[in-house]
Amino acid sequence: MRTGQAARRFNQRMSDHISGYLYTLPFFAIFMVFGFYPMLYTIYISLFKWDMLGDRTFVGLRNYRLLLTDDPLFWKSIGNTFLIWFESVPFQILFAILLAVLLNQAFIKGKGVFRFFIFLPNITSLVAVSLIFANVFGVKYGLFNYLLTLLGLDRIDWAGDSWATQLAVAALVFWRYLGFHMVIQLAGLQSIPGDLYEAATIDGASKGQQFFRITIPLLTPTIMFSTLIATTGGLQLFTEPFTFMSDLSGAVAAVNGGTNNQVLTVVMYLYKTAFTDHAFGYSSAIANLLLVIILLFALFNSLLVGKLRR
Amino acid sequence: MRNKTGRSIVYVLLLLFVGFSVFPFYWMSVISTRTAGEISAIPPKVFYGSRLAENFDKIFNNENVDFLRTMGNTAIIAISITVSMLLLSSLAGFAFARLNFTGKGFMLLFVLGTLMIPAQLGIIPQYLIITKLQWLNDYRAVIVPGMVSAFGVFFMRQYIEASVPNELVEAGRIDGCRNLQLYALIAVPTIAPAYATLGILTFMGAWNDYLWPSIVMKSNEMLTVQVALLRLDTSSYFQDKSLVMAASVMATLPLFLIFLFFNRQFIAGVTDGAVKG
Repeated sequence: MRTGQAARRFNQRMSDHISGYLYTLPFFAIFMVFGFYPMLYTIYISLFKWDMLGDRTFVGLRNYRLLLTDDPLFWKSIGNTFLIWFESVPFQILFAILLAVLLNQAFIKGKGVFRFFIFLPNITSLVAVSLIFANVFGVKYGLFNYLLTLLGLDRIDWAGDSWATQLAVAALVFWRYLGFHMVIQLAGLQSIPGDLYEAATIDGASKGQQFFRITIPLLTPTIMFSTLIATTGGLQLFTEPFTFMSDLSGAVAAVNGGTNNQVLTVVMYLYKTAFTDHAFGYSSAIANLLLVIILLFALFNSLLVGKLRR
Repeated sequence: MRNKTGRSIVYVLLLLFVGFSVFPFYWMSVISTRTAGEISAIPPKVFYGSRLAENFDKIFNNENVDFLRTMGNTAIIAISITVSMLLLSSLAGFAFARLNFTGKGFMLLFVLGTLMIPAQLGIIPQYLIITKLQWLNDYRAVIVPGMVSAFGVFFMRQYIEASVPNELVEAGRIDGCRNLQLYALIAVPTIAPAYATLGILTFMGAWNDYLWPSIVMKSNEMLTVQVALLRLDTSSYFQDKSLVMAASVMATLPLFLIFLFFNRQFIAGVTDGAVKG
């Protein structure tokens, strides 16, 4: 009897091991080939000069030195990426909180309907969305410029002027992800226990006091989460500016991030150096620098969250 | 009275944002019903025209791109990725949540650690691998790398951990179920909501992907719909945006319908990460 039980337990352990490795194998196989190995290989080839013909020469850290000290376009792409981030993400999160608070009011009817429509931009094809924005921001026949002329203002060159192009792309990012962040903030609000507000009301706290003393502190982790998602996404911005420029100024301008590189983001520059210039080593160095920036930001974010929790 | 005004203001604000969110869709659909000449009229025509059928006709008989075929390509890719993502993620998630094997903790830590690393930064080696495998212009180039992800595995693991009771699994074992039966008969029926959420997220991501398919699917008959949108009016010497907008309507419609029917599951999926993570 006892040996039977032990044998059964042993068999169970054996089969759990076999099943465990077997069931996780597809994930690890695919991840190793298309995730982990490319990451290591990107580090490796960033140490080589790789020219159009495919010849490779080991150059050590030269690609990084060139990027950091001798490539204005790289710095421009970093600047553009952060500018577009700065012109969209803070407003996006601010408005997402505002909308979530409004939608969370008990008296609101049809919450689901509001949520559906405000979330809608997020599910749309990114390319389609960028094409619509290119249309609205069209220089000659675009709706936005028409409205400006109605107000007696000058048309704005949304495809040529640096600030205007960046603002148009930032508007697109704002529009597409506002609903996404609103839904996240709404979930955060709903996880705050209602009795906190009841107790505060009994103690005579005003709505404003409740908002700043209860809502904002308890919502902070959710706000940090939104910021993290928006930032890791924003640092990898590609399709929006690429498609927007492609529609307004053509394929060449798209690859260059606009006629004077005004919306060339880091990932767009990575794409250009890899698939137009065929400088794979140089391009890999860009990928690694971007990865470092993203990881530093994620680390900073998690340290901040950890500190806030304490 | 004051309360009533306050409430009206809240409704007005919300409606303003609904308008802001919906307007570009309206504008897209208006342009898709007009001719190239009409959309460059001043003042702009802000209501529907009558050329939708004509524009669709031009798309289907386009000289640059076989648009229906690109829709088909995208459907094949998105459905394959979704099916395999659900199967492989839940299988691995089940192993991580309910089976005991050596190295499990470390392996799970590995999955977690890779969640933050953006896949598109490995795009150059990925491209070289696909070239070496001779998968350029082959469905496998897009499907295989997307078949399962760290996010999918982690998402399923969390869901199974929370919703498939250990006692039920033990009871199944006493009844003589093998591990695969435990997965199929106990776990799978319980995690149907997680399938819905992950399935929608995956399908939409695959349908909307631009960068990777644009690199590995170059030949005309293998394009995906997102890439095709940018190729529709390239060779004509005057640009026809109404055509592109009509095509955008078509590319958006499947997503819109899915969102219409499954928006609850979809939004649940988005918020899960925020509150639990």
